[in-house]
Amino acid sequence: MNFLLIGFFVSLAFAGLNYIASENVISSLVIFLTSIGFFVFIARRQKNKYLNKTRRYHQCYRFVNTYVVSLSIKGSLAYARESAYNISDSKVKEVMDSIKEMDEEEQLSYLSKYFKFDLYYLFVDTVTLWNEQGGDILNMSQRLINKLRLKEEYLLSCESMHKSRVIEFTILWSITLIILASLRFALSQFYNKVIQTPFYQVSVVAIFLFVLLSIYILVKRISNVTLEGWKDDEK
Amino acid sequence: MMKNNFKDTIEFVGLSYKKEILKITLVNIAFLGGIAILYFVFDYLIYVIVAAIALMAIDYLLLSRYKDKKNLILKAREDELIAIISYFEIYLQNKNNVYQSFNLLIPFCSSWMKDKIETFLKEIDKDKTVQPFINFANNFKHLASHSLMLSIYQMVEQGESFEQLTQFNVIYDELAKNRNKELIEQKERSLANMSTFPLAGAGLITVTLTISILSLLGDLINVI
Repeated sequence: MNFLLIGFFVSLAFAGLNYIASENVISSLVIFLTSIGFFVFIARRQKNKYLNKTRRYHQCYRFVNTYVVSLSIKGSLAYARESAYNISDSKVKEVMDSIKEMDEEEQLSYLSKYFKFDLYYLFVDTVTLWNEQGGDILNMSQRLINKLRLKEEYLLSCESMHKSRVIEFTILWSITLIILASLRFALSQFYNKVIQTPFYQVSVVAIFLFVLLSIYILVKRISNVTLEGWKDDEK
Repeated sequence: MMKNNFKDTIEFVGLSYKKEILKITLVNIAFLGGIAILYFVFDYLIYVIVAAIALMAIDYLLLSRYKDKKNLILKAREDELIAIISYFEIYLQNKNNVYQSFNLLIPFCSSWMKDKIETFLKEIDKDKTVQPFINFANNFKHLASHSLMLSIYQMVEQGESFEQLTQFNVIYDELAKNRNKELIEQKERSLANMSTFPLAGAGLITVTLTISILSLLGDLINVI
């Protein structure tokens, strides 16, 4: 589902729960607008950066593997390029289409602007060396492929970890916020007096801001994956 | 001695000792001024106690952050060494000698590492003993960095033979696997800590309700 749509529903849920807990339209509106702003301007940007980085790494891994295997089969850079092109996603294809007129080696070097990883630079060096001096490309790139695979495994395990932790985090916060909302029914008449105290009103807003802060920290931690050569300000 | 260590730590993280001491002193003076106002002007003893505890916590955070930052820098350097040695291994495999391979690593390095590698290369130009390798390894805390550099030296000594390359690969592979495991564990830990936030939220709800209810009860008792 679209991230913004999820953000919209979550913001709506926060505002609704805030209203149930405090019966205050203004604070509910503040919570709704803050949450929407948070999802649109902060969380989405962070998520896109992370997805861009990991997608490019996955693509880089597939590209290098296919390129090396194809090169070892036919011994032709053009054939290897074609094979790697065929397994690439539309964004990589777009970049490769835009540099069609370059020769094979130039194309590989140019792609290092897209695959901004140290391992890709090493791959380009290895192919350049193979082109100049010959040899068995599979043998020459064996250690490189191993390192790429190790990094890919690290990314995959991070991704599976992210899913389970996000589910756990969502369930725990849902339970906590449902408790907050259900207290008004549990305390019945007494609750009407409690919600009139300014301390309670401010605290409820503070609790929802704390929820947003924790989501921000979660998103930050999720997007923090180590891929050598990639800088977080990359576009 | 302790003062010197503290000064060294501040300078290690690239900050000025005098400026940092001045900042900490100003924060303390401002806080103590606030405490004095609370006590002498408003006579709020409970707030004075809370402010004093807060000042101690702030001082602790301010003073410990340099060491934390230093540890982060040291850890990043160890990580960088493991990363660049993996590139070194690839260059070696592609028939470059040790000197050329280290030279080829420079574009991938941070400025600190670049400086250390350049010094190392200058040293091995002049000194053909194991000393430059030990000097380079001394820049890192990790014991494995010494084993790595010694195995590289042995490789140079024995004509960069295939057997020596294999021995180096064995040491390096172990290190790389451990690093990968460590990265995953680090990630696991940082995400596992996230479950404390909903628990803290539940705590906040409890505190909010308790204070609100108690203040209401207090008002009721006053009325009675």
